[in-house]
Amino acid sequence: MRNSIALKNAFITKILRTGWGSSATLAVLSMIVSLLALCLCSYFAGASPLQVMVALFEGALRGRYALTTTLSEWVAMTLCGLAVLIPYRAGFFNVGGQGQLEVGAVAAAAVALSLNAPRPLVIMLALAAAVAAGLLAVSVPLILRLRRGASEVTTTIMMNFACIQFMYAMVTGPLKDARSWYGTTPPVPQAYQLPSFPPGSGIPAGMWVAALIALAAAWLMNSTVFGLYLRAVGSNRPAAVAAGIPVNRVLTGAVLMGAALAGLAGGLQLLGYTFRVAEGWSKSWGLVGIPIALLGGNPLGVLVVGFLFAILETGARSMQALTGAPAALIYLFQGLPVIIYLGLRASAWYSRWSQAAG
Amino acid sequence: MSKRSTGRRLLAGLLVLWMVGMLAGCGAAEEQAQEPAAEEKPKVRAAIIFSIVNPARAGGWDRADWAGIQLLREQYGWEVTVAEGVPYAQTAATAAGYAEKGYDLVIFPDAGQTEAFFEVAPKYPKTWFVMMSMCEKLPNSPRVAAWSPDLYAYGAMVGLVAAKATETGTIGLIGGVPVPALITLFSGSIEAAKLVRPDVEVLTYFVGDWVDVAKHRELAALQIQEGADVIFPETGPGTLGCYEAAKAGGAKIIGFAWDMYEDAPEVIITSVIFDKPRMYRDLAEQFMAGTLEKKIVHCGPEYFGLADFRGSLPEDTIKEIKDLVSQLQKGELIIPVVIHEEIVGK
Amino acid sequence: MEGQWWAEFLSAVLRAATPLVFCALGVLVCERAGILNIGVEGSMLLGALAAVLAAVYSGNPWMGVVAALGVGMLGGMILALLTVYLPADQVATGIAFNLVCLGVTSFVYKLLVLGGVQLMAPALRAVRAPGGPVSLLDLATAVTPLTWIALLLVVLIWIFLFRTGPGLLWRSMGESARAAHAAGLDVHKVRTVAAVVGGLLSALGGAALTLGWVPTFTDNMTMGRGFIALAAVYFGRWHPGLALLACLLFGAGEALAFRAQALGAGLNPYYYLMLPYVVTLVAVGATGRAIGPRDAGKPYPRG
Repeated sequence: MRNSIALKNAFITKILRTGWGSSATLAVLSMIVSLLALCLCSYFAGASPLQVMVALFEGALRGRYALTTTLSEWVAMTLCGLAVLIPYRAGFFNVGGQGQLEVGAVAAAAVALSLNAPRPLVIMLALAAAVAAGLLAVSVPLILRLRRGASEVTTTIMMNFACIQFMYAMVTGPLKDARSWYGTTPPVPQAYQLPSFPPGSGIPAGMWVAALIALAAAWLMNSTVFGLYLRAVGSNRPAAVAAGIPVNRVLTGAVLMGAALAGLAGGLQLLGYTFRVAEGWSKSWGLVGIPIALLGGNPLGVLVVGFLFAILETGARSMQALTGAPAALIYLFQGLPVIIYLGLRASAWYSRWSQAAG
Repeated sequence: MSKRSTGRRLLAGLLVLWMVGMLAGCGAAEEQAQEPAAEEKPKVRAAIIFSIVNPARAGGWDRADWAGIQLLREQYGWEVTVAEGVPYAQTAATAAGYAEKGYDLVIFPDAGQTEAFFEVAPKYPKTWFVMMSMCEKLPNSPRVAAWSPDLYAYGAMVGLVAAKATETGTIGLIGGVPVPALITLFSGSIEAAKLVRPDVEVLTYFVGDWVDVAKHRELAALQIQEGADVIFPETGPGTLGCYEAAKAGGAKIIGFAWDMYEDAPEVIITSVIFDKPRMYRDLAEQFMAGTLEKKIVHCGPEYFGLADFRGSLPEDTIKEIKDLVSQLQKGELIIPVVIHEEIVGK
Repeated sequence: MEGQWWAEFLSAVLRAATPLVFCALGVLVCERAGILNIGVEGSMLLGALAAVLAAVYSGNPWMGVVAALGVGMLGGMILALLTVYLPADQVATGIAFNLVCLGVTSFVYKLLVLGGVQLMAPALRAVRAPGGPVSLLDLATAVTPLTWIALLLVVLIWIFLFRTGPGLLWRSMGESARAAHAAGLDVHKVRTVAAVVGGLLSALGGAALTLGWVPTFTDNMTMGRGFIALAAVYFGRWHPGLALLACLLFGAGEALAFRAQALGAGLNPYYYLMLPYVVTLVAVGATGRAIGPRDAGKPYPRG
């Protein structure tokens, strides 16, 4: 009897040591709890939880259209997640991903709609313009942070508003499609759209780009001097200064990298998924990047969590369409797992900290 | 290292669980689907995709569609599934999802969904795709149709009502976003108002979005401040803000697309109605009779009408307005077509 | 005519600024005690919905205000639990909290209006009858009581923070929690109170948006106003008076953006609509280095 209790205790301790503390486990756990909450809410809304769950995953993964859409969502979610994650490591909270994405797409549209050149050249130039626009959008908050010490949380949010207004100004002004009834640019000509890769598979080429970038970011952050600096600057700035790390240059590099990725996401989504920039053309990819980055924790984690969020985004729309459960549940689902995760991690950290202290 | 692998194993386990769940769910869904088929003639299954949430109480346009859907459900016994709050980027996938589930018709109530209309329709030639909004060209598929309202004529009807109803001689037009549809509609209003009342002044302002009620209120208040006593808001859920401004500032509102009296009885003079139920009735009749064909139905002034005035204006003014409207409908009153591209301001 | 234009303009500025002032105070009170209140947008949404629902069902707008205070307190407690007691990252928690609140409010509203009824709540109206103010003197009666409460709160909170003993302790908590602890203060208790007060004031901002401005609810109706209040606090250097000024500046930007449409024929209105945000950014850039409470955002471990 005592033996079994001891065994049990040892087992629990083992779980606690290996499982409980691991962020990945916490992320998965918080997702499961949130899914249960989703079931409960759909029950209150008068839909059958089973049907809701089935519709959710079917809508995201069953059929070619659903899969293509999910993969396209994944592109934006991964890149926007990285756009938050990399600057976050250096101590800069980039809430401006959405604005950077919007102007990135506008810039890419301007290039793709005005040039007449070979396909690879136009695509390259359009994506370069998207990146440049993203950098431009972050430059104001970055300069204000470096020169004035202004909190980037507010300045990037201000830039979001301004960028979205700018996007609207473009789609109802210089870039508008005169033959369309709503506010939109003309569609990107078929010749300049991003092909799927392998050809005809329906897998967006952007997905490979996003995956490669995530791998590159993982390498950069884990195996290079820059990654080391990044962590030093983010975790203890005074110590980093004392160690002679060029703090501001590392911060600038990380922030520009993040914004470039958000801008790129805009360009890729335009050329490979929506083909038009229009009122309501994008989803809140930039904003959802925040929970993705926080849950993911590292570039590969962002890739995985980004995929889960893409499934939920596509699936939740289809769930709403087929079962009539309110679409508002999607927002609930984007916030709830993060809160649970943060809470769990904080308490795990706390328990370990207090154990170490006591 | 061991920490990581535990996490991964858990993740893998979770994925497996999901897949099992999915398979079980598919089986259950198929069983359910087979049962009612045995009973009687299968119901017509239609789906409609709204880009906004809560269409039943949204701005006029979607509410008119909602009335159309109720007609399909109640009079024709159709089973109509409603998707709402679907972003334009997701419309194609949602429509394809319906087509794959074997729906007979998929209805788009919003011109912003044109892209999806053209993308999905050719890929599912067995499903009918119907655009209930402005449309000039049909996709390359045998089963597509559109009921396309003439926005200029609609705007003209609004202009007639407004020019007759105003006492100060200033009318306000409030748009959500300066999109071509609104430019056309408001141009019609301006031309018609000038035709029946040459000295009329028209203020055309745009809020910048369709939803921010507070901004809508401020813009309407601004127009009232500048002398407008009749306001026509053509926007989305934000319209509620315009009503509030009219209540506070003593102005009147012309409702958009559907009878909006219920929303603000104090301030609504009348509403210029899109007879969307009639469009849906056309659709249902033709579909049931098997005569639905690939075509665009251009809906002119005969598809528009006025809601009850409920004594909001003097009797003779109401009669004047009704006369003008019936002249417009009969084609006796011709409004010159002038599109004001640079419409913002006075 | 001129006087009337100004009176109308100022009352528009006050209408736009009132919800921002409440929220800015909510943020300020928290940050002075050392916790960031990024969740202000979410609390504002909660307050907006609760105010409308309570006002509709009770028929009395002041019941709406009370309900907003109630849910604001609840939201503040949840945030306090997460950011003070656990403690989790304050920015991340705040942003996730906003998403959850957006989901919850839209969901609850959807459940309650399934019948298709439009919810128009009884509003807190200005004392003056309709028709708009005609002179600057009438301005005082052209705004709702909530505007006066907001202005009063600015003064009260300024007095509390900068002219009283407890206020000094409160601020010391934001500068150095360790020192405050050494001085015998219970850091967690005070910060919890701060979070609750912050939630309360933010929710009141939501009530001001609905009951004082447009007495109805739509999904995501705050439209980022909480974040603007956040910016106002930074721009106002964590001082109630300056934060009020920042809110008024933003309200003026919005009112001007609309009025510019009346003047500039032809130009795309979006260039004007960018105005308030650009003005805020320029103001942040022009006013020099702002240094907030040093310990804001840093969790204080328990033990």
